[in-house]
Amino acid sequence: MRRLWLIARREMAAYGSLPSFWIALLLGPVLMLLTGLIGAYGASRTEAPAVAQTVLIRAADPALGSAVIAAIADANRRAPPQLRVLTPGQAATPDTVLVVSSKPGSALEVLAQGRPIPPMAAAQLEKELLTGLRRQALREAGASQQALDAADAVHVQVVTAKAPVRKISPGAAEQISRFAIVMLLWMNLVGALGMLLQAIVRERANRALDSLLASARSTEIIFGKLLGVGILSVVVLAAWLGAGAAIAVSRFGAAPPGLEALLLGAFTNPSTLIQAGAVYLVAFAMYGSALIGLGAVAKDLPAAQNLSRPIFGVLLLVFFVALTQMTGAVGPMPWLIWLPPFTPFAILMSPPGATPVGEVVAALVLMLATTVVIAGAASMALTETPLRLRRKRRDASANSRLRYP
Amino acid sequence: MLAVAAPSTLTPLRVANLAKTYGGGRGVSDVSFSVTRGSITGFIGVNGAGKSTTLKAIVGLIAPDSGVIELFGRPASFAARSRLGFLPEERGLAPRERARDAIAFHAQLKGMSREAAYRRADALLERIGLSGRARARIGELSKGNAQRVQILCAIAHDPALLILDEPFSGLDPIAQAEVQSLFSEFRSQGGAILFSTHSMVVAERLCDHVVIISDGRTAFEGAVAEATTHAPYGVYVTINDDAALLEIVQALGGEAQPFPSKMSDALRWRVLLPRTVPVPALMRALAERELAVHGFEPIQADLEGAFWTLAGQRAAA
Repeated sequence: MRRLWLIARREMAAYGSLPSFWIALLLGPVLMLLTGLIGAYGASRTEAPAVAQTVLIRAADPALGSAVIAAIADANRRAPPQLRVLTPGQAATPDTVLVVSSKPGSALEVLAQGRPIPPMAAAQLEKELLTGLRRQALREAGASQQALDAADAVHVQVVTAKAPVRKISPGAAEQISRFAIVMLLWMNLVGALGMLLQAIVRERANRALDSLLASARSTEIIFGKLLGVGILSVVVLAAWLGAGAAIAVSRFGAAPPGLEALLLGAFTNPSTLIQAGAVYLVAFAMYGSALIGLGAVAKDLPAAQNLSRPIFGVLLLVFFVALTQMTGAVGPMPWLIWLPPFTPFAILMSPPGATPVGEVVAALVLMLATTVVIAGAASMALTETPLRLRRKRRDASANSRLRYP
Repeated sequence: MLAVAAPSTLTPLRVANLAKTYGGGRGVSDVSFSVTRGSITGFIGVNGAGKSTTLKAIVGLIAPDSGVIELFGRPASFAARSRLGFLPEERGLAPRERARDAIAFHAQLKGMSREAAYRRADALLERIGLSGRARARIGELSKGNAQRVQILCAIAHDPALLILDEPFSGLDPIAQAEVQSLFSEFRSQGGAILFSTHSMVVAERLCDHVVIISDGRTAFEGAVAEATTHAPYGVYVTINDDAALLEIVQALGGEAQPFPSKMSDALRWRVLLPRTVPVPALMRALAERELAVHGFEPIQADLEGAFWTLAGQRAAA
C-alpha cells in the first residue's frame, strides 16, 4: 500500500509540475464562465439599443400615424437614429410594426409588434409623441384653460408585444442537463486516459518501468498510476463541476431560460454532482486499467496509439449514444447499463428513478468485476507473463523452486 | 559511505538451467552461474546472446519458462528482491523529477523511511560530487550525470546484490572511474555485483569473475584469470609472402587467418599456434626462409581473446 501511494504521489508530482495540467484545470472554469457570460449577454442584448431599426407605422387615424412619424423624426434629431420609418410602398421587410391606436380617455397606445424596440428608443418616442400631441392640442384649442386641460388628457404608451416564448418541456430540460454532465465527464475522462497512456508508454519505452517493476509489484504500479492520475483528474473535474455550480447560482446563471442556462442548471443539484463524481471514478478505473495494459504491450507511443484506438472508438460510440438519448432520435436503451463500457454513461443519462437502485448497483458491481479482470490482464502484460505460466506453475509445483509473484 | 545491508553468508545469486523463449525464438535456453558475496561478476555476451533476458528474469521483470533462480539461498521472490538493486539497460528517469527526489523515491520503494531515504540521497549525491545539482531536474542534467543519478537510484537502499545492465555505457572516462570506484567500495563491504558489459577492458579491470554467454547458453563461468587462459595463443604477423607464411604455419600445426587491415602490400595475419609450439619457433622459421616480416606481435592473453574463443566454441557447438 505504501509503494502504491508512493507511485501515485510521483505521478501527481510529475503531472502537477506541467503547465498543461494547470491549463486543463482552468479550462473548465473558463468555459463555464464563458457559458454564463454568453447567457448574460443574450439576456442583455434584448435591451441594447439597435441602430436604425426599421419600423412600419399602422394607424387607423392617418393623423395619429403622421404624429408618430414626426415624433420619430424629432427623436432621431436628438440622438443617433434608432428607428427608421418605412413607407408602405417600400419593399424592405420592417423589423417592427408600430400599431397606433387611440384608447378611451384620450390615451394613445403604440404597440410594437415583431422585434422589440430598445427601451431607450421607446422612452424617447413616448416623450416626443407626448410633447408633439400636447403642442398640437394647445394649438388647436387656442391655449385656453380648456386647451390646457385637453393637453393634460393626452397619454402615450409605447408597448412592446411579447414575443412568443418557445417552451422547453421539463423532461427535455433535464435530459439536456444530464447530457451536459455526461459530456463534462467524457471530456475529462478522455483527457485523463490520454495522460495515463502517456505515463505508461513513456516509461515502457525508456525502460523506467523496469526500474519500477524491480521494486514494486505490477498491481501496485497499475493502481498507483491509476490513483495518481485519477486524483489529478478528479481535481480537474472538481474544478470544472465546482465552477459550473458557482456560476449556475451566480447572477450569470440566473439569465433567462436559454441553452446556456439549461446547461448550467445541471450543476445546481448536489446529488447529481456527487453521483457524477462517483460514476466517474469507476469509469476511470475500468478504462484506465485497459489503457495501462495496452500501454504495457506497446513498445512505443505510436504502437500504443494504434492499440488504444478501439478504446477511444468505444468512447466515441458512447458519446453518440448519449447524444441520441438526449435528442430522443432513438428510443430508450435501458439494456446499455449492462454493457460495462456504457454503464457509467447509461447510469448518468437515465432519468432519476427510471432505473431501479438494485439494477444500478448490480451494473456497477459488474463493471468493477470487469475492472479487476482487466487490471489482472494489464498486470500480466507489464511483466510479460504468458497466460500458460499459471497452468505450468501448478503442474510443476511439486519439484520446481521457482516462485514468481 | 556505501553500506551493504546485513551481508549474508549465503550465495547472493544462483541461476541454474534458466530458459526463456520469446515469440521470435530469441531468449535463453540454458544459463547457469552464481554470484558470490563480495565479488564483481561481469556478464559478457554479444548482442542478442541473452544477457538482458537473464537479468530481467533475475529481477522479476519477466517470468522464465523453466530453471531455478535463487536469491540469498532462497527461491527468488518479491521479498528477496528487496535486497537487490537494479539498473536497466536504457536509462529512464522522469525528466521533470529532481535528482534528489528520484533517488529518495527508489529508496522508499524498497522500504526506507522518507527521512532516511532523503538523508541517503543527499549523502550519495555528495559522494559523487553532485550535491550542487541535488535539486536539478533530471532533464537539466547532462547524460552522464543523469546516468550517475540512475546508478544511485539502484544503490540507494543499501542492497546486498546489484544487477546492472550496461552501467558504463554513455559515461565519460572520469564518470566511469567514479562509478568503478563506487563499485569497488560496494564490493569491499561485502556486496555482490553482477553487471553486463560489452567492454572487455572494463570487465578485465573490475571483475573477479566473468560469465560468458553465447547463443542463449553459458559458455564460461569462472575467474577472470582462468578465462584468459582460453585466449588464443599465437601472434599477429604482417608479411608480403602469404603463401610462404601459410606453408610454415601449416608445418607447425597452426592456422592463419587474414585480417582485413592491409598495410601497403603486406597483409596482416592472425596466426594461432598449438600451445606446445613456442612463438620463437615461428620467428625462427620465418627467418630461415629469409622472408620480409613487417610486423610480429604476440597475441595478448586477455579477456577479449578468451571471449572470442569461448563464445566461438559455444556457437560452433
